Amino acid sequence: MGSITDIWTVAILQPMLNALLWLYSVLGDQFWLAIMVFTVIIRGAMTPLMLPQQRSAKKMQELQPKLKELQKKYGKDRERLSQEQMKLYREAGVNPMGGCLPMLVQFPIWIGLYQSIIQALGYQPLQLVNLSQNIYPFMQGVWAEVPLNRFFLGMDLALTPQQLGGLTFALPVLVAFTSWLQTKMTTPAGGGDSQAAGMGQSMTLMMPLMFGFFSLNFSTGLSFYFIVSNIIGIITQGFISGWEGLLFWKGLSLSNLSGLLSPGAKGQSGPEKSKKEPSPTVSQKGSTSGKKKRKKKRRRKR
Amino acid sequence: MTKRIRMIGAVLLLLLLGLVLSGCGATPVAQNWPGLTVDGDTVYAITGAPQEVHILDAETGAVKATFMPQGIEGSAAAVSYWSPVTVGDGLAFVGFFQDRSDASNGLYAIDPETGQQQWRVLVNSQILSKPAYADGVVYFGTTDKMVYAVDVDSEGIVTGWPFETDSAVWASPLVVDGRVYVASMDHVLYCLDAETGEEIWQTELGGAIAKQPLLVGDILYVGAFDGRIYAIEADSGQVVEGFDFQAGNWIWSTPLLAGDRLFVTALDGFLYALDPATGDVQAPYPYNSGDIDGGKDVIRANPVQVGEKIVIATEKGYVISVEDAQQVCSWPSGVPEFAVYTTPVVSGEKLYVIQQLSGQVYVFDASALETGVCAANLLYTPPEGD
Repeated sequence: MGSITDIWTVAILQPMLNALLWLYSVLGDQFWLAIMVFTVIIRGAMTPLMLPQQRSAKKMQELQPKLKELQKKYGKDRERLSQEQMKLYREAGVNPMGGCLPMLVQFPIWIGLYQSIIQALGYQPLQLVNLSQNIYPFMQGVWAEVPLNRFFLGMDLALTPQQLGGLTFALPVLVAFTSWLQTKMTTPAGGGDSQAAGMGQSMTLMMPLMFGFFSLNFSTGLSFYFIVSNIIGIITQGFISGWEGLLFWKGLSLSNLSGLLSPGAKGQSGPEKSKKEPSPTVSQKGSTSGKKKRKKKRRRKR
Repeated sequence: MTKRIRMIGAVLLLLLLGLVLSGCGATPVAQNWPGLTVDGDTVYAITGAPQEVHILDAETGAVKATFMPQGIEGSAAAVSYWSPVTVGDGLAFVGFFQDRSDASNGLYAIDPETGQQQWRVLVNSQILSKPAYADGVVYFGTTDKMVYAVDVDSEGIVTGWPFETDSAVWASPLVVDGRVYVASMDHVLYCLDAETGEEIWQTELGGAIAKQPLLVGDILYVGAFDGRIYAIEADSGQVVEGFDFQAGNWIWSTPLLAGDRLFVTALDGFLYALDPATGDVQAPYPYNSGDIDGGKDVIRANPVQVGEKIVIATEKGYVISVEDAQQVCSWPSGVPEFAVYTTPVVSGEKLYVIQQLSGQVYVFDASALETGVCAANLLYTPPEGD
């Protein structure tokens, strides 16, 4: 157990902590700025992992009509449906589980960043003893910076919104909102596979709620990471698959939201639906929608 | 129906994951090291869950009394911060702070025999270091940058005080000859007038200072988080030129003068012996506490002198008697279970040690330590929390 902790400390915690401390020292002793720049760097480093996921999301969106077609055709034969779906994914070069890897890679980064923030902004004796043991010997220049300036606009970045109260509760809301926007842009609109669509819509709602919940209980410094990271994700996805997803208010109604919350909705409601598919009738004519799209493309090419 | 169940399962799984991760990553319980003070035949240990002042018989470990501020319900979940106890004027003084209990945070004067509260001065900030008592006044620093002087007779803050620094004060004030030397986390060592609280001088050093300075003659020695020991003229606050020493990590302890050498412990796990005039490390020192098990250790506690030996306590939980940079003996004989961050206390023929997590108090026979027998008796085990 001890060795696992040691590996984690050496491989994840120390590099992240020292990078944060270095950024802090070169960015005018502003920890919030260090977190933001660090986030941009982390997102940059993860681009090779994230881009395929984002491209895959776009392809998944494009495959929705075909998936619906398959659903209609083989809806009663689950095994065949599954085979045909996999075949379709294979032909389109899409990995339906492709989003999992970047997500899994991000988890240690979140945890490492959280620990780094807590250690770097330590304000209790034992926290500082721990910090002293995790600063690289060649970073001696940082010793003089301790204890770090952990305030941003009067807000203590080491404390949680629950501890700080007041306006800091806006941070979890912002985290949840930006996370929702990002997930919404990467999650395929309700489509052929009703189960997958339902899952997708649940994810669109549950993931942001989960991150909002994290932010409520974690230091506000981590909320900065989430918000900046989400904004970068939104911008990148926007460039890949367009900006329509940002128009979240279009077609948004209470009934749509309740539809999202209801597992039985099976993807038949929600803002994407009304936006991406001109009308439910058209989308149900799955066999023709793909042809129509291709025709449109050809027309554009001409 | 199956789909619905799967969906609900997925949602529940996500929520569970969120809860688990929140639990794992929740803000760590902030802690200070447990206080340990010995005055005559009484030991004051800040220990237990929840932490309380345990007033013990120094010989038998029998509990004479315990102290918890009135109105504070004992709760193991509540995080409280105590300063070590200081004794003076027939009273025991201790700082107490608990989140969200503004009405109870402050300095308490208690009866050393009964543990009964005599009076208190409310200060809504943490008092992490041992208050200093001198001439009927108790001096203490707080994490909200202030240094207070409280008159024991009037039970109020002395006129002219508090004094404000630019950062938290984690070090005990040093009161000598009408002057109060205060080390602050703002990198500055302040010299104040003990009566008026007015600043006499201030000297900025290269790192945060978390421990009280040592006064030898007219020179103050103080360690800082830049790993350096500074020698400063007590009269003027001038840094002594020609004194130069830097350890391999922060210094979070007060130096010890033993013989003609200045002993210094650092978070790099080394015990250094310095020339008080130049700061040069005296051979055969330094002593590496990590050598005891071939790993790396940390020394936060001050070095203490027991006869001819220097005794250090380490983060791994070792208590080591050292002479000429050689380990004379160490405790425990097996692998230690708990860290020791609190400086051991020498009183008469005994050496007292308190462990970090267990809160247990151990007592060593000083003469045995000198002869190379590091054997300790368990003096006190705090009751477990509810």
